[in-house]
Order: sequence, then structure tokens, then C-alpha cells
Amino acid sequence: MSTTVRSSGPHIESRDTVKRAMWDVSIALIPVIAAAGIFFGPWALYLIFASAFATAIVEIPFVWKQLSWRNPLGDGSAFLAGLLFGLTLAPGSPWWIPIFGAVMIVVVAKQAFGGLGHNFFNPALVARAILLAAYPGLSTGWRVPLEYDAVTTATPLTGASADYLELFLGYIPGSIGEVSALALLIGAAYLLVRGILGWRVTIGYLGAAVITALILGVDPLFTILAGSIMFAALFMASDMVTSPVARFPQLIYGIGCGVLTVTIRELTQLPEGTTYAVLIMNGLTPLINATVVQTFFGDVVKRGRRFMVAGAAAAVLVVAVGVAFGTGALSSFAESYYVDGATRQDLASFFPGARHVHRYDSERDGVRVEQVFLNREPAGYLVYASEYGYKSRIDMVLALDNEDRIIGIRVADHNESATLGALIRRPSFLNQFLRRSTDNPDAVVDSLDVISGATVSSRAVASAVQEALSFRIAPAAPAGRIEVGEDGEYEGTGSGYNGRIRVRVTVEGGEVTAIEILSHSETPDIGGPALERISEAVIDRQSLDVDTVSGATGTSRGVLGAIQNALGD
Amino acid sequence: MDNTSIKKFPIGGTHLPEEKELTTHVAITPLPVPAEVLIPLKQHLGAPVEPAVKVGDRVRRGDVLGHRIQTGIRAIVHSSVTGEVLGFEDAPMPDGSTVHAVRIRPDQSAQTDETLMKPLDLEGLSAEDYRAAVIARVEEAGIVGLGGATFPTHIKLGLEDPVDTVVINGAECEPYITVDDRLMQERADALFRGLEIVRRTVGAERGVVACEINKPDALQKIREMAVNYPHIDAQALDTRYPHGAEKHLIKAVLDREVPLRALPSAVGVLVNNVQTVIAIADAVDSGRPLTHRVVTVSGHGVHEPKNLLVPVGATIGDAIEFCGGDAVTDPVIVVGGPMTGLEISNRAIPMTKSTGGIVLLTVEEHAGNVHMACINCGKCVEVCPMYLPPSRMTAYVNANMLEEATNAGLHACILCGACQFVCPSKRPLVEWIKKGRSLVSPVRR
Ligand code: SF4
Ligand code: SF4
Repeated sequence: MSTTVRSSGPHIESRDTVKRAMWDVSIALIPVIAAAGIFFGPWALYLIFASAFATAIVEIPFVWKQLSWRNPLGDGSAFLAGLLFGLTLAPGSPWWIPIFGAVMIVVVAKQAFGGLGHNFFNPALVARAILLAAYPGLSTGWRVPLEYDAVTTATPLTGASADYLELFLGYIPGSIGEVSALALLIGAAYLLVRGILGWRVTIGYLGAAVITALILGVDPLFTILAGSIMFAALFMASDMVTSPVARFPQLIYGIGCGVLTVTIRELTQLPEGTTYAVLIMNGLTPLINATVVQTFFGDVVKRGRRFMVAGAAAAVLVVAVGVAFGTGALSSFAESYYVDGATRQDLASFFPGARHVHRYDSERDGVRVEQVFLNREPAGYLVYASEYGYKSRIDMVLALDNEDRIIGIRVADHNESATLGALIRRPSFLNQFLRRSTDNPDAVVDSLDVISGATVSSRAVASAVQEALSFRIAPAAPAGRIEVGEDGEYEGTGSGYNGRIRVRVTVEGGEVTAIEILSHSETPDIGGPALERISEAVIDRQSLDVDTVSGATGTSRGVLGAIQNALGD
Repeated sequence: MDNTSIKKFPIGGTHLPEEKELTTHVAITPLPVPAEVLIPLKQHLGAPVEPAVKVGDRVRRGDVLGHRIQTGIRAIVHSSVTGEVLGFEDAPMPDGSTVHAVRIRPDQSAQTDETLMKPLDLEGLSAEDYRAAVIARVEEAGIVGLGGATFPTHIKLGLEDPVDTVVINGAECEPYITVDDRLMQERADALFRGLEIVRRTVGAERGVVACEINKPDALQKIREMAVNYPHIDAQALDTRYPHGAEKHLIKAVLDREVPLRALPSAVGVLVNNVQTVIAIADAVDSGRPLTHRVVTVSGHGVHEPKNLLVPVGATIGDAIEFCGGDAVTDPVIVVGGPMTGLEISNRAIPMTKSTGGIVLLTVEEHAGNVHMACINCGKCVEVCPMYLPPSRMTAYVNANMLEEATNAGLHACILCGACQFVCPSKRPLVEWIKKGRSLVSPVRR
């Protein structure tokens, strides 16, 4: 603070103050906080408010002069940063995280830069990024919405289905603040009325996220409803201090955030697309502010020139994109990462953070299996199965862990009667299938607890589950000593992590003597060595029952499959 | 034209507290002639005029006190009272400067004694002669732009650029001030008459009277009047500051953008203030020189807010006294509007042709003098009607990076103060912009 004597200029001032702006944003967070309380329970509320008050307290020595007994929270900026940080936490985070965050926000992210207004990076996100780097495991203390008194699990499961409406209202397992898009939007509406929401940032962010999702072949609606994008677009990216000041730059910044978030999520293994995307754009803000300058009122000549340049640039861009698509460069690129909307939903509900699946080629008896990878490690399977019920087909989705046990289940689609038939969607019914495994698929049907009045529908679900479990037995890994035929060279193929693997196996004197990899598209750094190791192990032991290479299970299984295929099994 | 449309300029601007209710229904009352008046010999943009009277002379209201002896931007000054010239002295001005002035003691019994020129008969004159006659009369009557800029009107009317539209600026976007508001209500006849004269003088096809919708009575009146004038339209403007800025008024009304550093005539427009045009009508039809003007005395710091017809040279103190004096202790006195006016403490400053308002702000509504760091909220950029980045511009000024500040638009700023008004950190942006300008050498401008 400093003082000036005004001789000229406006002698009146608006009633807006920094303090008021900060508290307005805090007020706008009330619906989200309420939703967090409802969905995640008291512990979430502890995390949020502990963060807020801890941050305000840690800041006291730095802003001592501005505080008084009547104004103990100063301008409210620390309290707000703490609130926002609290909302980014996983609902099962340990008690000390708020204090850790508070120190990071105040000391590292804010005061080291010179205090409010001088920081380049959103303090709440800086604290979050440090937290992620220091304790990566903490982001996985998920809880199931609405079942906070029951389970705390390593991965969020949900027995209920996750359709768009439910996502919108609040069934998203994730950070505290991301649980309900509806609550976020109510808060945003308040900010809009108060004239505080940087809506250009928000619109740019969401718009760009949708378009990027479309280009990368991801379900756009799901992209912005589930996960952190909505929260980031409304409350993180639009933070005044760290976003650009002028109109067009705000739009550019928002677009940058959207493109980066979705790209980071899809093309890398980083689960935290939003945090890094917004921080990167924060860093670019001074540059955008200084370079993207509006032409002055009355500078008609310059504006005309600008329009022409912009038009030319747009034309070049359109042509370039067209050519890229035409030559297939982009389309094949997009295809290799294609995960359809339904699968994406299931990934988010059953395997949060997982972005990649490997789809088994064959579809048998209406059963489809996708192996799920989380950070390149197999995390389990999604199995899709269906069966005819009372009057319609019932589509089921099962999530299996690596031990082939059911860890999640939902009814994807059905047209049974809206009253009794629809009860098959209830967790109380579906939960009986949890932890069933491929060991004994028939037990599912034998010990079924039917819904009275919906016997046929219940049985249909059970038989779909049975089928799904049975199917998972079939592609179980081959075992035992290889049986080989006559001497000679045999070729075969298998599916690896990234695509087909072709091998040539040489048999001499009843033994496999050489395995040559003819073609593959595995990654050179991880998949490549795995191919070698597996081939050597097979020759060594004369068996397909070899340990898969950790970190390259998909590749390992692929090459084993190819060898098996070559030997005519 | 659609008579009911409401227009506004497209980008920037802000909504201010209006406070017009205090005086919008208060009829203009004449300020009684004070014991003495002090009439500055420069009440226009330009150089002072030469005195035409001596100490001890008896002057009549309407007599010339100071005339121009050279060409250049000057406007004649007339006596606003009948009385005796006491002497010459330096009169204090609101901006802190002083101006050579004539002190006159009015003769209280003889104020109806007035020197008038002969009414002009413009009927049957050719376009050429009409123009010459009007411009000469405007010059003789000492008329300047009464919106505050005080540019001599005869020079403005004499510009060579072709003009197709004359716009009357009745936006009056400053809070509290109701001068044009009252004049549109009370003297619409003279306003339309004056506009017709100006329109024919500059050869424009069309005249527009523009008025913000926060003055419903005035708007109603000009809409009724416009029905009888085929060449004149009434145009409603949304309430948005600064609609009264000439170039923004043109943008709003006609959607024409006056290029940087150019005059409105570059886009075929002439803008005149409501009171100026009324003064022209009076000078032409009644032969009356410009000796009085309407001043709004308002604010929550004065007992009875009023619209006054004041003789030029009466002091600010005279006007405040007539309005019942201060209502609060130590009100902040602002000459002009609260947005662009100047803060004064000396009540002996005489009112001139440029004095549009005297606003007494209470300490509570007056802007404080504490400011905080810029929080990059972008509000200043959002409201800047010139599309400038005030936060960045002033950061450059404070870092003494004048080159960058200039490139960011230091000289394009119209000092409207909208940015400073909205700033939540209460940063004195206009102060810094002015400081930056004063640091840049005049050559660089
Ligand atoms: S004072 Fe200057 S910078 Fe501020 S809003 Fe007005 S024109 Fe823009
Ligand atoms: S309005 Fe004030 S706080 Fe906001 S960007 Fe402008 S100067 Fe900074």
C-alpha cells in the first residue's frame, strides 16, 4: 500500500475493492464446498477449511500491517488460495496436507514473488504441483462419492452407472472440488453476476478443450464434465492475478489452457493435465500481455492491416491442417489413441488416471475385452457383455483387476421396465457381483440374489456376468513346455502393446533354436528390450511359461502370443 | 431514423453512480449579482485577449472587456454585469495557474441595463453570406465550447472540411451535472433553432441531438421537438461513461471512428455542446453576447443543490453560498465533474465560461488516497474507451520506461478516468498517465 494526493482525475471511485473481489470468489465456492460435504463427508470439509485457515495464518507475518482485529483475514487472498488448494485435494488426503499446502502457497508461490499481485503463478496450483512431485501417491486417496462412511480404496469404484447427467450432478470420483459440475456452474453464475468471472478465459478453455478432444478422438462432453477441467476453467485459470488483463489475450490464454490440458492428458502419462497446463499458461501470461496488443480507438489504419494479417494466418492454418489430414499424418495419429466415449467413462469410473486400453481383436459371443494400462502397467480389464432380459438387451460393463476379480460393474444400457426392471442398476443389486472371479463363473448364477419382481432381468444380468467371466478364462496365458512339430521355420503374429508383432521361429531337432522378430511397433526404449528378453527366455527354457518383463507386460504377452501362433497352437 | 433506438459505443466504458436526481427537477435560477466580479481575460483555449477598458471605466453588461488584436485562437470577453472597473489583477484558476482579470463592482440598481447587438436577419442570404454572417456574429459574441473545452466556436465553424452531420452533445455523462439536462428541458426551442443555424452554416444535411437515457424528461422533450424538424433527429444513448467524449459520441451515434489525432471533421462530423448552440441562437436572434452560463451546484456536501445561471466572474464561493452553503464539514470541492474535474480549496476562484459544475463531495464518497498493488484484474483495460492497457502503461511510467509507455498509448489516452474509477486496487492511474506525459518531451508527442 502507498499513498498519493489526488489533485485531478476521478474524485470518486467504485466500491469494488481487492478484498471484495477475493471474498466474492470465496462465496462462489460455497456450492462446491457444500457439494463436497454432501458427497465426501466431513473429512473433505476439514481438508478445505483447514487449508484456507492455515494459509491465512501462515500469511499473517507477511501482511501484519494490514490486519486488525476487525479484519483478521486481510484482503482475503490467502484464505481464497487455501480454499482453492483444499478443493484440489483427493478426499482421502492425510490431515497434514493442508498445512503443507499453506506453507507452499504463502512462502514459495506468493511472498517469494513479492506478495499479492506480483506472483506469476497461481499459488494454489504451485502448491499442488509441489505436492504431486513430492508425494505422487497422495493423489490417489480417492473415495467413492456418497459412500464416505464405508470405503476408502486405492481406486475409486462405483457400482452406479456414470452417465452424463450423473457426472453433471456429482458422481465423479476425483478431487474434492471436481465432484459436481452443477455446483461449479452455480458458483460461476454468481461470479458472472458480480462481474468477476473472467468468462473469456473460461469460454476459451472449455471451447478449446472440446475441440482438442474432438481432434484427438476423445469424447468431448465427458472431457469437460468429468475431472478437473471444469474446476480449472472456472476457478483456477481465471484467477485475475495470473491471467492476462486484456480481452483477446484472455481468450488466447484460455485456449492455450484447453489445448494443453487435453493434450497433456491424452498424449502423456501425466494425470494432472490441468495443473501443468494452467501453470504453463501462467508463465506465458506476461508475454501474451505484452505482445498481443489491441489497436487503439481510432487507429483505423493499423486495425485494417491487422485484419488482413489475421485473415491470411487463418487461411494458412486451415490449409496446413487440411494437408496434414489429407496425407493421413494426423488421422493415423489420432486413431492410435482412439478411445471411445463409453470406454472413457468406464476408465474414469473404474481405473482413474488410465488413458490407454488394448482392445482384443476378436469379439466372441457379444463379449468384448479391453486390457487397461495405467502408466504403462496393466491395471486390469474392462469386459463388455450383454444378454437378453425381460424385454430388451441388457449391456453390462465389468471391470476386472489383474487377478481377474470383479472390482466394478455397471449396467451400460437396458430397456427393462422403468420400475422394477430398472432396479438392476442399483448398487445394492450389483454389489453382489463384486469380487467374483474367473475361477468359478457359474457360482454367479447359482448363488444369485434376484430382485423380487424382476427375476428375468436379474438372471439376465447374472448370465451376462457369467459369460464375461468365462470368456476371461479362455485367453489365459499358455503354460508348459512347448510342443513343436517338424523342423523348419514358422511365422506367427501376436498383439503387443502398440500393435502387431510378427516373429519367425526356427525349430531344429525338436527344439526352438531361434526366434527372430520380423516386425513390431513397440516402443524402442521399453518394448524393444522386452522382445529380446522374452525370446531368449523362451529358447532358454523351451517353454512359453516365462516371466513377463515388468513395465512391458503388453509387449511380453504379445510376443509370447506370436510365438505360440507360429508354432500352430 | 428509428426514433426509439438506444445507441452506445461498442467497447469499453463504465457505469457511474449518476446522482442526477439531486438537480434534474430543479429549474435554472439566476444567481443574484454579487458585490464584485472578477472576469478573467482568457476563458478559452488559446492566448489571452487584450483589455479594452481602463480602471474607473463604467461598463454595461454585454460591453467588450477584452478583444483580440491579432488573429489566432482567441475569444472576446464581455462584461457580465453593469458597473465600475475597479482594477486588474491575477485571478486564481482551478488548475493552480493565474490569469489576468478585470475586477468590476456591479451597480446593483442598474442590472437591466444591457448592451445588445442587432439581431441578425439571415433570411434570403446565400449560403456563402449566411456562413460569413453567422461566424462573424459567433466571434463577436465571444462564444466558446461550453462543454468544458472552451475552444473558440467561430474557429470550429470556420473549418474547411466538409461536414454532413452536426451532432449535439447532450450526453452529459459526468455524475451530478445537469446543465444540459435542464437546458434541453427548458430551452429546447433555442437549442433546435441554434442547431438549424449551425447546420446551415456548415452545410450539413443532418442534425442529431444525442441524450443519455438517464435524463428521461430531456429525452422526451427533444423527441417531441424533433418531430417538427425534418433535418433533425433525437437520439437516445445508453448510460455509459464517457459518452460525452466527442469521438465516442460520434462512434455511438453514427458508428464512425475518428482517426487518432484527427478532428471529427475528418469523418464529416461537427460536434457541439447543448449550451453552446443555445448561445449561438441567442447571439443571432437576440444579439446577446455570452456573459452568463449555467452551472450545476450539487453534491451531498451542499445544502440545496441547484442549477444556476451565473454571471461570468462571480466566484465559486458566491455560488455555494447561494445554494445554502456546506452541508457537511470540509466537503471536497470539485470544479467540473467528479470524473475529470479539478479539486480546489480556494473559493475565491471566479467562474468562467468553462465552469460547468461545482460538486461538493462528502469525504466518504471522495476517492481515498491509499492504493495497493495491481492485481492484474483487467478491469481498467475492460473499461478503457481508447482500448489502452492502463495498468501496463502506468507500470511503464513508474519504471521510467517512457518509450514503452508511449507505444502502449500514453498520448492516445483521453484522461477520462474510467480506468481509475473501476480499479479495485484504487491505483491513481490518471495521475501517473499525466506524470508520464509531462516527462516525455514535447517533441516526442
Ligand atoms: S483515462 Fe486514459 S487510460 Fe484511463 S480509461 Fe480513460 S482513456 Fe483509458
Ligand atoms: S484495474 Fe487496477 S488492479 Fe486491475 S489491472 Fe487495472 S490497475 Fe491493475
